[in-house]
Amino acid sequence: MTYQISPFSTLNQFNRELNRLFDDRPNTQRRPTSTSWTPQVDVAETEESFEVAADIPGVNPEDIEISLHNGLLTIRGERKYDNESSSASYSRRERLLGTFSRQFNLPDSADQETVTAKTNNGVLEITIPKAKKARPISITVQGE
Amino acid sequence: MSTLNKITNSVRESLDVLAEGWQDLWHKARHAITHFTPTSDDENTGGNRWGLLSAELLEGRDEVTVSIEAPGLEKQDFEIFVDNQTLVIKGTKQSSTERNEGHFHISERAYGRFERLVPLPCEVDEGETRAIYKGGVLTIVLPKSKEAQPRIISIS
Repeated sequence: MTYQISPFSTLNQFNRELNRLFDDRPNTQRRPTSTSWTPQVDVAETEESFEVAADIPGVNPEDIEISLHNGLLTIRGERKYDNESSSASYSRRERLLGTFSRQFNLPDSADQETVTAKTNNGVLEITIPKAKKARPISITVQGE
Repeated sequence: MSTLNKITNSVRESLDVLAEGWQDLWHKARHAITHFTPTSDDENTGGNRWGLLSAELLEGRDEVTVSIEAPGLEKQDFEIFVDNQTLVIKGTKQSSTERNEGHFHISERAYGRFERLVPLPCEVDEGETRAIYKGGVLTIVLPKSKEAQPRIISIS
């Protein structure tokens, strides 16, 4: 068996990929038609629950989809632009539009039946309570 | 052209494209990368020291609208003013107390004091500035000063 090593085709492909990547960038102040972004999240664990907080400024609650399947928590959504104005001109555009998604594996101690979610000032807050048996119990020692 | 030359040229071309793309990204997004200074309460959470505060500036005929993504604050946490034709937004993002009691599995969000500067394209009337904080997006509407507004000349 022979292996053919071709540095050119690899490099050419790399070049093409880079060109594609950077040619897709909005050269003008035109916004890309579809893109994706990743929200920053915190996942904290307390004695009673797991708390997920995701920064999703400018996303409407109805555009967020949260699903839980076999211990895999999936957050999906889309940021849409609500007041596109053609008469005015943008001189700065840093905000990203488009879809986002993140997934987290929940431990067995999570109670999947009672997950709650809400949005508050652009932060998606998901609370996953721990199952009763996973919570720490303090046992008092009886005196004699 | 020798094989080595071909490879050298290809690598050089790749690096040029990469450098150009990086410059472009830097030019576009560097202002959004904002440093967060932890306040004493948040020191122990070990959160991120850098966050993204993406801004947008829309210039209309009579006013300039600046939107900034700043999730997780309350409206009283902001301090907004105009200084030397630059919009200054200061704020403090606090981590909620219930999260401080537990421990973090993932900690990507930045907490603390921040300051974001947005250069304005013209003189504005600071006294008439309005600000709305909704859904984690701070929108500031700055009416242009009389001198900066286009003058409409009527034909008699």
